Amino acid sequence: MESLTIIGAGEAGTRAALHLRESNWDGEIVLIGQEPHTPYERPPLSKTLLAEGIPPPLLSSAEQLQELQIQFLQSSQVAEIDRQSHRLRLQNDEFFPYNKLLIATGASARKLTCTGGEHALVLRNLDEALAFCCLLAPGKHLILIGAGFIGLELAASARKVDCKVTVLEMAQRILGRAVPPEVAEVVASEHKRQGVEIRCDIELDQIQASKSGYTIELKNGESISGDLVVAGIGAVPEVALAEAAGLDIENGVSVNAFLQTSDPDIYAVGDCCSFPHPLYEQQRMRLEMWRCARDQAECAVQNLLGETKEFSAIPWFWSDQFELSLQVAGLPSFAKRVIPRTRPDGVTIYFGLNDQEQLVSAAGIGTGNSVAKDIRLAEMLIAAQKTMNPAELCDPKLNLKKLLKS
Amino acid sequence: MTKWVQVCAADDIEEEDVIRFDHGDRTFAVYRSPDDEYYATDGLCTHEKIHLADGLVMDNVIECPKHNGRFDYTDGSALGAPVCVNLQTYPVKVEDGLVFISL
Repeated sequence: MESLTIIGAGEAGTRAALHLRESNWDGEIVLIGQEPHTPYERPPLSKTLLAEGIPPPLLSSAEQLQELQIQFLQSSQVAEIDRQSHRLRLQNDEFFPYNKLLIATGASARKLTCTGGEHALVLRNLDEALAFCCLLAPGKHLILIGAGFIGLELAASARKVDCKVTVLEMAQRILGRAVPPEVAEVVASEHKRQGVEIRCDIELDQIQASKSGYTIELKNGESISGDLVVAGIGAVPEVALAEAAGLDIENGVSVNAFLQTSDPDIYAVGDCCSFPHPLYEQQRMRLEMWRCARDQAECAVQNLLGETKEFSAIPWFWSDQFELSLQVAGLPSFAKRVIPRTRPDGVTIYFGLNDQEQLVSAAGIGTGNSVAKDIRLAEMLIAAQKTMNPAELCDPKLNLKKLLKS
Repeated sequence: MTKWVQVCAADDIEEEDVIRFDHGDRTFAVYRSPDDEYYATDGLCTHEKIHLADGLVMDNVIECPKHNGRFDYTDGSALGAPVCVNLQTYPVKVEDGLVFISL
């Protein structure tokens, strides 16, 4: 590889650029970002930025990028990937030849399709979060559509600044299949305790703008009025460039086990790509997770530098809401049964086992980072593909670290 | 003269584990290594000020519970992204079954 061009300066794209330099590679790096900002951390946008006004930490300062000789183009939009002539065309009609290309275009917030859906704000990037910050004020009534992680983190942040908050969810329960029902229940009751109204099983009809705000009409004839409406109904992968270039697309830019697209000179990482997971029956999946974006970036870089490294990191994410933090390792949707393990401090970790009694997931919620150690150990146990004894696993006296080392 | 501050009983920290120790307005992490040595560092990760004592100790490494930043707690060295600033370490002694750190 002589040079690497990276489309997307989020967590994955920026990490790839930095990791190349950490690996002492001295070729040319071009990092192309759409936003008018130096690369920043995205997870705090829905958490500390809204609740405490703390700007997100930078992934790298402009000076550091310069020192590392990473050519960073901000506010730049790629218009076309021309695979035949190995070059990119930017929106301003500038051309950039590339040697190897890394697509890290991320995902964008899914938009509501109902009548008046355009009135709902979405929160995905720093500008959207800053605009949203200015609109939040004590006493305002915020209506959130979708009780996923973004929606619930926004709800918690808005309560911290004394907004009135209503969350509307179309499914029967919050958080869908991402966490076991018991963990979702802990989250739901904490929101209730903190004054958030969560309503599940609703059907949205339309959103109407009025002089004083917005009214949401439900299909059962009921209407709810508020000052602000925000949709947190998931994200869709940004595949337009890859698709137009004729790359394989399957719920994201399709990559193989080495994160390579259907064009051997092009790799894809982060929220925009789908990959087969060797520890989950080779099932093709797309993960929208901070750590996965980083891990994939590092794996792709190593492969671009000549290794053949299969991506096999265990999915892991966290969410902070009020004083609680939940963590999930692995994929609870692959669990055939769930073994609860209640610790002396009252916190329960839910282990998911497959038919072979191997650990496939672990989830827990507690104050601060009190579940972190157990979830981290569980993650290593999942990677080790150890067969578990369910009777042992539910016993809090069982030392997970010893089990891992045995 | 060195000021030694009592932390806890030596048995209060499990082998290959860590506890949080608050003193005045400061917070520390105190470790017991797999070979039964005791160490102390600043309590907060140098990346985003997360309490390290909630993280996992494996051998001589402490991992931040939030973003997996890793440090060698025996000398405080940061072991790679996302952490790049080393942890301050403090001398530790064990006397009569009690752990002390020097501030």
